[in-house]
Amino acid sequence: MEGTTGTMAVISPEHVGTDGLVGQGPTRRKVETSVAKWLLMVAALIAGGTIVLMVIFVFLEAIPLIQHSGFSWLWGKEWDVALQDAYSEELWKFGVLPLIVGTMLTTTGAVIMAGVIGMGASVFLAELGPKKIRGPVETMVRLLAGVPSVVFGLIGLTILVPWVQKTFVTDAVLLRYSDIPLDGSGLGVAIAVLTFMILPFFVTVATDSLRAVPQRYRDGGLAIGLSPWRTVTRIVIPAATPGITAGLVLAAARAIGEAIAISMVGGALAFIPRIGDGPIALLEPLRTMAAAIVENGETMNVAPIQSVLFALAALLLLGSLLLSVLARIVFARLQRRMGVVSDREI
Amino acid sequence: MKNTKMWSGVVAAVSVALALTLPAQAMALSGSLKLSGSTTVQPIATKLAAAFHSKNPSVRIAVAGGGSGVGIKDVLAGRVNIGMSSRALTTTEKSKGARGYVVARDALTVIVNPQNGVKNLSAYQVKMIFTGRYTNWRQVGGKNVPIVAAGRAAGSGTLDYFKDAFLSGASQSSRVKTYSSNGLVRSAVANNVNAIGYVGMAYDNASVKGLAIGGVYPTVSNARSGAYRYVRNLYFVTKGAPSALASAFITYVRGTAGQNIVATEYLRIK
Repeated sequence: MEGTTGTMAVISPEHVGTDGLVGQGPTRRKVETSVAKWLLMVAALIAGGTIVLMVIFVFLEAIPLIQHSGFSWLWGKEWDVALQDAYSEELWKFGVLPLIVGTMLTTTGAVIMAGVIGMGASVFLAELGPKKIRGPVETMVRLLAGVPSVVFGLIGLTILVPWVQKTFVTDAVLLRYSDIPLDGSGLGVAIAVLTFMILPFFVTVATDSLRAVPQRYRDGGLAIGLSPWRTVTRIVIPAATPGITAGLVLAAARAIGEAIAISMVGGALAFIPRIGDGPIALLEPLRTMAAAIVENGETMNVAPIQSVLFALAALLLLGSLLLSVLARIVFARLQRRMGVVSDREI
Repeated sequence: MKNTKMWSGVVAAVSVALALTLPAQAMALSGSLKLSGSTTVQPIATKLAAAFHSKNPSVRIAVAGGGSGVGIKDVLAGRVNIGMSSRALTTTEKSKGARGYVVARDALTVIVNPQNGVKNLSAYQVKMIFTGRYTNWRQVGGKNVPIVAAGRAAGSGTLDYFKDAFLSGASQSSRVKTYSSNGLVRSAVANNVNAIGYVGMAYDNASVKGLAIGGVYPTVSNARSGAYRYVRNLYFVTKGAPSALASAFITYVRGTAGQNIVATEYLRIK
């Protein structure tokens, strides 16, 4: 194929068979092209149609809940007990607010943390790091992206949670906040685990965005006497902002749906961490929407539980669809405002 | 109903008898069985499956967890051959064709961290703790630290039994952490000095401490004599009459050899 790309640029596509070769019989070419087109369309429909079917299916399954209890489940605050009652008495009185808040808190926290750490890593990888170690570090970051989430959860559960418990959950803290079961698992560890899970996604996008800033921007900065550090912070990073922002939104989309790891370190209680408690809020337990789905999948034979879990799935789908639309809009807006500096699209 | 059950027993007994008299190769059982459900039953089911496999090398038995609700749902949907349950079947489940076979008995054990000084609670105190009325160990004779209660999530047969036996059917309070298996409850209690939980007796090991309830410890002898009251049946569940292989396995489990294995973790059936 590589050898023919040059040719393809000169000869118009109709003269090229699907195998990229030029000069075969016209009939065969036509048949091949139409078969290929047809197959490609099927592939595209499978890929694109799946999301449509999924959305329809998930929303249909959530309808019984809306029929039974309107939208009151959206702001109700009782999840764990409601689940028991739904299981034993088929009650439809759910409150998913703690799950929504839990998802938003963990996602926001992790995006902020990953943003700060990730920017440092990206600037190191794309701009300022010694060339010799950039490669190995970048490989390691990319490997981090492939670690299954349950491994993150396991490390969080066996190392982070006991450490947090020993260090921060003192008897004084326990007595002061005695109405909340504190044991080290909770918001803080959940954010930490999630941060490292989304970090490689953000670093990859941010590094690419920085690299896409044309060299002449850097040359210009250095030429007017800026230090390399200032060139990066005053010129390169601002120029790469559209890509960096889109990277953050993509990382958020990854974080919002994480289930297993959060279920393992979140504290096993659908509690709304009280931000008013200050840093102690980081020790307070929570449950996210995705974690609730994975934890209660086994009780799906009960109609109310099945419907409420699909309602949660619908909320998650909405959330991640909104985030990916947001990523595109932000990218396009910022890029227009700042002038096109990159040939890359997300 | 009763007749077919008896007949399947007879068939299994005959096949075991035949297996003993005929050359092993001719009569050897073969095929595979899938089990899922209660994490309370899982530890013995795994041991029994291994022992049955070593007697019948061409029989493969896979045992998965999931909780009693899953086991019953799976077996009714035909996804597994035998469901495991730590609670009795409901009338709805029976009407769908579910049949339960008692394979062991379990003394539900209330556990605390080994470093906790409390050794005994009354059933009333357990109820007060899990319904959220008591929140400090001082209220039940312990140190002045908050109680962290660890329980099971909806769908657990252990939760159902616990609610019936200790909470007079009431729900666990919204401050009880909920986990999806016996093992997770045990590790939550093992890792937290202030925690209390409840598990099947097979999960009461050195990492936690089983409490006496009303002065009676959940020992095998206390449970068998009836002195320890919180004893429940553990079940294998099939849909309709079990297949020949499933029937052979159930017969083995309920027989002397199987019950000797059951007794390493739980109580023999009566």
